[in-house]
Amino acid sequence: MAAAAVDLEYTYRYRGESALTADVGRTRLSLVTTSQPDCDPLFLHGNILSPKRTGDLLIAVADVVQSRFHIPAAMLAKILRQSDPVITCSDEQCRFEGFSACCGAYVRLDLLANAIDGERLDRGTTNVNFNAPMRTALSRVRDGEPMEVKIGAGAIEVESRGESIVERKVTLPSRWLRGFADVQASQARMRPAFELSGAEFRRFLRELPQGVKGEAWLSYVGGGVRISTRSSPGAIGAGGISRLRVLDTASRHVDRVRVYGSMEGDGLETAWELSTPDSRLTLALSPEVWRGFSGEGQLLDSLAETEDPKAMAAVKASLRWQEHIDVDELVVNYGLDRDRVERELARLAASGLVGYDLHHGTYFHRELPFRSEAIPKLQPRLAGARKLVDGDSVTFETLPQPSPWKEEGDKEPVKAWVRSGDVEYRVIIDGDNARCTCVWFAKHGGSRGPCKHILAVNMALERGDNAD
Amino acid sequence: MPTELENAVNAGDAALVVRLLAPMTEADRRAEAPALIALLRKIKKDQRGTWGPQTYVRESTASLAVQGTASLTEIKSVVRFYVEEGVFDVLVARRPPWLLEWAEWSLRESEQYRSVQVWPFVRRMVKEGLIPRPNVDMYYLAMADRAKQNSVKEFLLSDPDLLDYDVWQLFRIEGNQQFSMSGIEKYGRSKWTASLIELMNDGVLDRNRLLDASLDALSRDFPEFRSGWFSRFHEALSPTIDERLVRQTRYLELIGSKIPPTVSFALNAVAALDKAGAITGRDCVDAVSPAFFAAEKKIVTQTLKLLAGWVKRDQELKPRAVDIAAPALEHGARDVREAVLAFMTANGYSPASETTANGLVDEPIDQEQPLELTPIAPIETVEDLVDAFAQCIETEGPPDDLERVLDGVSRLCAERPSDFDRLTGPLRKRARKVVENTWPTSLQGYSVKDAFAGLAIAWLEGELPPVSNRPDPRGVARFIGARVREIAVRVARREAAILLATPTHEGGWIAPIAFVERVRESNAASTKANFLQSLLSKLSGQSQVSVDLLQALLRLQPDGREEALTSAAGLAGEIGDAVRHALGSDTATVGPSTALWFAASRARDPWADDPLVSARHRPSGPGTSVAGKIEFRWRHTESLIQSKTYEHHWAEFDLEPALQFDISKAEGEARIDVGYPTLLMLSTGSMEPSMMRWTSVVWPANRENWFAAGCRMLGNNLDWWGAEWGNICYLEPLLEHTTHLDGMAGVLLGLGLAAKETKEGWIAREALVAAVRDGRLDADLLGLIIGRLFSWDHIKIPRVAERVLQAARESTRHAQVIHEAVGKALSMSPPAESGALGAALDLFYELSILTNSRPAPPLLDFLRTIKGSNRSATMAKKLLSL
Repeated sequence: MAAAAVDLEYTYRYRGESALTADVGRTRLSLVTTSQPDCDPLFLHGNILSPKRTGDLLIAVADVVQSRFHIPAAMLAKILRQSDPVITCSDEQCRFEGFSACCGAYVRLDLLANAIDGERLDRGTTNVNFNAPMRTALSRVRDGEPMEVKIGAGAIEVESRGESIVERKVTLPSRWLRGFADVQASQARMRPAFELSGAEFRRFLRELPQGVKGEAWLSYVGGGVRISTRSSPGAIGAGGISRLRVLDTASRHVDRVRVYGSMEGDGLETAWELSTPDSRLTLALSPEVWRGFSGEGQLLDSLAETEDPKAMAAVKASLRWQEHIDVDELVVNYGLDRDRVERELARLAASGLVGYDLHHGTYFHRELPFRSEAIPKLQPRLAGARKLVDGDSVTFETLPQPSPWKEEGDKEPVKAWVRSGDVEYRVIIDGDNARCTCVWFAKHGGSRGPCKHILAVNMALERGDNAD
Repeated sequence: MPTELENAVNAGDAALVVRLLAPMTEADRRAEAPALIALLRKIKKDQRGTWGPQTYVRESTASLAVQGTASLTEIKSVVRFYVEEGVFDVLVARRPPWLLEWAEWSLRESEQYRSVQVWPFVRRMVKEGLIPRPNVDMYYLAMADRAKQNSVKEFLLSDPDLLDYDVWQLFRIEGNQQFSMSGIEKYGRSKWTASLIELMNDGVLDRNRLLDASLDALSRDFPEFRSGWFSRFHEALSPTIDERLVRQTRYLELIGSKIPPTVSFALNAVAALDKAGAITGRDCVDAVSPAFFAAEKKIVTQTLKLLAGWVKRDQELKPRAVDIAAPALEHGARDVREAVLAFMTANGYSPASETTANGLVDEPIDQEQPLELTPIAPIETVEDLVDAFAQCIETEGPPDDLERVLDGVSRLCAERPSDFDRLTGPLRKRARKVVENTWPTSLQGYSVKDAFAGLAIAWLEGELPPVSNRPDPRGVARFIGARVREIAVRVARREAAILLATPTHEGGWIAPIAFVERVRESNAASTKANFLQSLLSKLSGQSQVSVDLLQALLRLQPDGREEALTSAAGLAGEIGDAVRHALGSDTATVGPSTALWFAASRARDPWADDPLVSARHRPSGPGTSVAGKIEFRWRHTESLIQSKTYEHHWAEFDLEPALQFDISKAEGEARIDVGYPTLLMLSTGSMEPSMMRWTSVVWPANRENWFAAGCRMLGNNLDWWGAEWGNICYLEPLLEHTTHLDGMAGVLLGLGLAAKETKEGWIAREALVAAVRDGRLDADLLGLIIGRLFSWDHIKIPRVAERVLQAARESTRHAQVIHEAVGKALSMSPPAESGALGAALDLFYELSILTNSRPAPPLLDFLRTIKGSNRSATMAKKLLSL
């Protein structure tokens, strides 16, 4: 079975619908999380200290989740109808994560410790029910009215005449699953480019050209963002920036915005971190409206490499729902190579087992409630590469040998042939540079990660399949 | 042996299919399925390319048969959504367990195919208890669309169960691109609004429920077009003050909507309540705060008016009102900011400090930059050529990369290393695939992708496409096609040669010394090559001069000519004379080849006339032996269609010298020989962006003729009547610091600023910014460009104003130059139409504030003549008071 074609049949199961209800002198926000057969954890119970702001930011999460910035006509039937956000509760924060149906936008709302005054009862990651009536009710919230919040499977009071289970079956496309996981590694490759005040960001949104789907170059000049069709020193590339309009309402509450750009590939991914006194809303945008995040950059190379069992074991053992995974600590405590640790963390991110916090530049522990260990196997190029290697389609012409004419440690390039169908593709790997004669490589170069042929050659080299 | 079912399908007899299926067991049906699926696939394939009502009869009959025999998975994969009358009978007789799923799938397919024919069958299944209501929005949207086709009221009354539940779902559903209540209402014969109101008046539908349902829908923040019906419907119910009062909280909540028309709707409702004295400021003041973040002026000003009224009646609201209004101080419109500040100041606000800083940065002018161009490294090996070729086929550019590959294949075509077939296998396969359906036309110049795929086949297999029946493309793409063909013919025979026209530097430029060396090196082969060229030319009626040579001349860099001229001293024949003339010699003898001497003349000085060449070869248009002139103009036409007059402005130009043929018509243009690319540029029209970009480097030294074509393309599509995505390519060279902005380039810049399409306007604005920065645009020249726009009645001045203002915010210098330019434009040629004048004066006012300037005296006189109370007069007064 071709792994790339496998979508996941998934059932959201809740004991009720999340709701915002009015009580005497206050409102109550009940966020219902996925129900488990043998436990119904209650993660949090308290009061939201800025109801209007938090309500608008939660609406932003809901809006991104249901957004379809691009739908090819042929995909209409396959597009995910509605997914629910994922919530991670830890000691200090609640994080809501969502991924758009079109796979091009990722959103995360971090409610910081000072956003909610209450009792944190449990830690973990699960789905949280978001529905249209709740979103509508959130839009009506005003400051001045206290808002109680409960988050958990038992957040809704069970009706006296019996439970009313809410079940919704969805098909989670493999592209969506991969993208949701891969966007974490994508963020790990981003760096801060510039910062704006809230007013500057609101002006930028107001002046954003309508319907711009292609690439643009952004720089901070004279108290505002300059948008250009050409690159210039200090500018970052950004694709499909019209999608930022989804932040219109949220922007009213923002003090500062930090903008991140990608340092790899074609460099068009961006992330926009909106800060308020008690929360951070991050929106990551894919390189183009019609592209996702999946398989970009060096992620596939990392996934293609054999796992380092020692490093992986150490990293996994350290996971305890912490908000920041300390790489230095792992390096010191376990005597590991830093690069190795970071590669294994990227692998865990691709499996949906950790998320990436841009603000702190660290991963955090959370486990996507889907069948996440299977996600990396869904990468079509990886699956294709494995098939080529397993089918003995790789033939080496030259192998990496030390070169007498180069610096010590430098090697002669590897040349190999990969048979696929009725043609052979020539792959040359020279240090960090690789090229192939396939159509994919001709079209994208290395800007979207390696093609399956380059991956196959790397896999074969690692496996020691060197026979010509 | 075909079965009875197959025969029925082939005969297109749906009724027989239904009868044959009726008594079958599920096992029998499944046994029939494979053959019927195969038959359906064959029918679909056979009828490709045919049209007409009978065309799909067999397919729909086959689809019916498949739906009566196959599994649902098979049905979904092969049935292309035709709804046959018999589908209800077929499925009801079958009673598959997946009937509900089939219904939901069919309804979703309805959306994609924009057809609601399946709805009656699904509805019947629901009514007869065969399936529950499908859990898809299209069930209700399809119902709404079916109803609109005749009488909505009668439709609903004929199926009264719909009134209890289904009708109310329409207030819950957003709709989609194909179906929404807004769209259904707009295009329906019968209107839902009127019908629902009639039913309400008849006591069939509950009024309160309709009022509440429409507000519920608006709460969901559907996109603007789709939510519009609900607000219009609510207002069509004419709610009384008492009814509004009961719903006061809902209206106030809707002021927080992210959909501007919904906010306006809510504000109107609140204003109505306020006018009736039914509400107080205290009830409302907090709820209106989101309106002060709105981008729409009307929303902010309306809310400000409400707030002012409340404060007037209840002074204790002042501090809160000031806080609430504060966000509007960031509004993009100056008059809104001024109004809000005035309100806040009147109610106790004291700004911390007066700031006159305009947020602009100081920027020095870029000194005139020498033509520093990046050299291009040629392709050295067959391996590198294979990679570069594949890349060009996929990415179709940039032009420098395309030229590298032409050069590489021309020089290396005879080399066949030992693993050549193995190495080029993927390229060969890909090239064949690309031109699978376009092989005969691949080398004509229609498409970069096809051209390089065709060239690859010529190189790898020695094969050239057959003669094509399709005419050559319009404009200078024809010249490019001729170049590629010239190379392909030689490459197919593995005759390696250097190309004269290969750029040595980015942007299509050739260093003169390199050009001379190439001419010298190729002279030995040129006799034979010229013989072949001459033979082909005679056969085809094309120019007798190699297009490679013509192209090379047009790409000569202005620098380094003296050295090259010295080196060219020994070049023989007419070519030698032409080369020396191009490089600046005054002693060359003008020969008989017109095309050659036109190219040499333009290479010598792109902007000046050439009397020596003109004496022998009469100039036949701009860009021949004279620089020529191009004057842009509009031709205004009116047409009467169904009693309505439509105006159109056609972009045209007058040429001096005039052309012999009407280049705007294909037959006129076809009479221009391919050897005159500078003339062909004038008729360059719609083409793919990659080919458009390639044509921009045919004559990098002077693009006036090319820009003229761009003016015609943009000018005829200012309001984006057609999706001409290639047009932005005309604007891109305006960003280069070597592009002069007088003449056609300046006209094109203006048209770009006036264009509706976002990216065209964006690039034009960037070009304006770049040109002010590098000194190409001063206030005089920019004033001419803007003044020209002001003088054209059909230009949307607010669109231009917005972009010009954004450009002014780039730096202090930009603001100053643009302010002065707009002032000059207003003095020279103010817009005649009042609305346009108002927008222009508004722009000038903003610029005056930005630069802390006052209008110059000539403009002051003009401003004093503007009377009245309209926007122009208001802005004139404001400017006079500065």
